[in-house]
Amino acid sequence: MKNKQLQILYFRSVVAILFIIWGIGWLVPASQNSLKELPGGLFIILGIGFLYYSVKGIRKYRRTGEVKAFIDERAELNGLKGSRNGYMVIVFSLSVLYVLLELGLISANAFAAFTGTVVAAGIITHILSYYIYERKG
Amino acid sequence: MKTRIKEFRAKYNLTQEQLARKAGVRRETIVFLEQGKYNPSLKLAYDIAKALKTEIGVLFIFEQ
Repeated sequence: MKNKQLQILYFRSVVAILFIIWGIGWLVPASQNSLKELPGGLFIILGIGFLYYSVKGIRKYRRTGEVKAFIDERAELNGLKGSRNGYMVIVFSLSVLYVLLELGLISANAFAAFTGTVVAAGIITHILSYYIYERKG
Repeated sequence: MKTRIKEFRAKYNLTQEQLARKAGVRRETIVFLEQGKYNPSLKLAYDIAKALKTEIGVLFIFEQ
């Protein structure tokens, strides 16, 4: 199977099935978590949605020989640029936090707490950068 | 970089979506290529030229 776009469709189908299985798994301890059936239900709905569109795409490919591209070189390039920006945010922020920690301006507990925030900021930067590059070309 | 994609697309009566499917890319990529806002890889340039039954040198106008 050389067609990369078709590979993505099959990969999405597998991910969708995993989402459904994961969602069912979440439903089992639903009584023990405060969110009840919400996380499991969301995963199952997402999984069914993914599976529907993936199977639809595969059936269309088998019928017409055409497959809609989800990822191409421009999307991959923009993804890489977004990753670079996210990485830079994480590296720069962690460097600042280390300096503050070493200078004794923040405690080890505060450093640990900020680390999570830094990772979240890096991920958000990556996603935002990707969409900005996608819009601007 | 200037391109003649739009001109050739009109010649073969292809929509951006149809050309994108033939070249195996997203429609947005064709839009940015037509606007000269994206420089494609050699492979993509070849795939688009092949889809439009022409050659890279004819389709893409490289400027210094």
